[in-house]
Amino acid sequence: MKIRKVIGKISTTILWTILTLITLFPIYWMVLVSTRTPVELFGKPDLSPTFFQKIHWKNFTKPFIDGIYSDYLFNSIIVATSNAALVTVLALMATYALSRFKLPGSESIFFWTMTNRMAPPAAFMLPLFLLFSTVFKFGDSTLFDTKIGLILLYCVFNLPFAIWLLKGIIDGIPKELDEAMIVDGANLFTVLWKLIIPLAAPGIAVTSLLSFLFAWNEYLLASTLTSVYARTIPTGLSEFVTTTGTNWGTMAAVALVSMIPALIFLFLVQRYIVAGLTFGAVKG
Amino acid sequence: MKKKGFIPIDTNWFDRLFIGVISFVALQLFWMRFLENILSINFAIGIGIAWIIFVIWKG
Amino acid sequence: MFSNNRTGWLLLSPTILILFLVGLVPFFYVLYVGFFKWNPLAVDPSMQFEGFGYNYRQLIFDEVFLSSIWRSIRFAVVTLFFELSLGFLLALSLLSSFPLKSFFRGVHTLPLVIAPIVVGSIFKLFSVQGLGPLPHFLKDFFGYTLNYGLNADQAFWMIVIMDIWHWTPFVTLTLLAGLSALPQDPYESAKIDGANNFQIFIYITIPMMVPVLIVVIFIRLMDSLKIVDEVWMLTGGGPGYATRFTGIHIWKEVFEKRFYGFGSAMSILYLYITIVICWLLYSVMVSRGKSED
Repeated sequence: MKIRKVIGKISTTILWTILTLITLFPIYWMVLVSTRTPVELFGKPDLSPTFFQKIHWKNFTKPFIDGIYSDYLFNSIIVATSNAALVTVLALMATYALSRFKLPGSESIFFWTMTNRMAPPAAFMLPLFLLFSTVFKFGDSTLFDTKIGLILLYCVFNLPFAIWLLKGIIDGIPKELDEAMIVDGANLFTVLWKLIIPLAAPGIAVTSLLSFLFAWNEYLLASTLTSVYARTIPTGLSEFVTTTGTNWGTMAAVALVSMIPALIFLFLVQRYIVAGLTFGAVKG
Repeated sequence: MKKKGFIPIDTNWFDRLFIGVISFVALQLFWMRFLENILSINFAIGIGIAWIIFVIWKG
Repeated sequence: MFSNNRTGWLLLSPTILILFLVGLVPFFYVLYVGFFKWNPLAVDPSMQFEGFGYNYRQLIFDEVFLSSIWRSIRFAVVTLFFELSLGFLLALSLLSSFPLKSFFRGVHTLPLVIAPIVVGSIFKLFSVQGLGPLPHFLKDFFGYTLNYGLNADQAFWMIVIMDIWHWTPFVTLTLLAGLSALPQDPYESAKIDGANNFQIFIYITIPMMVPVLIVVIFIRLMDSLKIVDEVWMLTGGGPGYATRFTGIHIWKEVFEKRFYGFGSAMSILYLYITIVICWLLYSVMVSRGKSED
């Protein structure tokens, strides 16, 4: 019996070691490519970690210092941060309303928000393109190719998930606490600021981090709804596909840089990522 | 408001309207593909509308 | 508790307004455009009405579009099968304790947070002819030529492998969350009755896991039907039509040829199919929930 357990443990460990290698190897190769000159990449792939001896920094400086990619990076940061802030504030208000007021039809509204997340973006690409470039006008300026357009747009898939995530948390805060504060003469703003936000702080943090991540990672709509001024880093990455004779080193460097927020977030939200991706249908 | 008709799950009127419209669209598309050479699409529209009403009423 | 509902609606209104503007308005607009012939590059660049079914009549005979739908569905089912079986196995293995478990789990979560377009780039660098180690070593050790730029089957299966790499962790972690929340009593009574591990798995674990499994299947199917970014980066929909999933097809047709009316009809039909599949799964989910009460 004991021997069987030990064998089980060893085989599980071996399985997971292989799996980890499979997960990490393509990423490791990308890091290698990003640190090498085109000549070094030619011929038989060299898997030794040459980045300890020498890094070809030109792969990074060419797009980000000489090229336009620093603008893309800046746009991405602005769009993702503003979207995360907007989504968190709006979702907190909406969730509080859905959780504490007896609004007629609130279940239908709740369901409707979810359908927004399930819709395939490719089906909405064309109408959004037409609406953003012709219909949604403020004087002479349209929403097409603006950061504001992207910030509003990303609410479509971030708001539903944020509302679902926060609803579970705010429903868990006893109503009696709210009532006690209101009896003492507090208004709505005070209740939110002094009671709900402190108690739901971890959930709010996770919500905003995941919103940031989803906005940062989005590609399809960003690439169709921007052309010059509001392009984000994923759209910049896809520009390598069409150019003939791709410079693999530069492409790997850009991919690596756009992966950095994901890596940081992995450490911060790892425990909550399941709840975030399944809308809290399964608790992580 | 929920009730049970010939559709095997409990539905309210909106669910039944939804089911009716979904099957209406399917009928139109299949009619266009396979039957339009023989019979005009107007027959499909007629049948489809009758079907929607029937589903909302009895479903 | 708050006497008037006005405050509640006030709190909800910005959310409803934004979702209305970027969710509902585009839907009704694309529905409207879909009934017109509209090509801004044609001789007559305005919208023309040619009967309600004009675009749909063309679409329903468009073999490329229809085959792209079948391809998407086939892709969704194939990846679901592999991800679900692998993910279940891994989730079960994570229930026991073994050395470095939390490290392995952390690395396993990594693909989930990487952007799809970056996953596409990673796999392109990894498997493109003349650069990537994968085709090189397959050639050296097995004499197998991998060139997904030319071979249609290899391109399809390359995408499947990429999707498995990217999304199996999601299945694993979700199922693990479900498994760790299961009540322990049925297991103990089964052990007293002398059931073996396999029997316990089939008769206790699987039935109790059905709700979580349905959630996973639902989310994975919907996401697979949506796939665009990774495929666009890795193969661009080629070679030929081998990896042209519906999303990519719409993108290529609409933004290269500018058939706005026809493209709208395609978007609506694509949406229609996802809605039908989504609704079928959802009603399964709801009726399961009912029967358990």
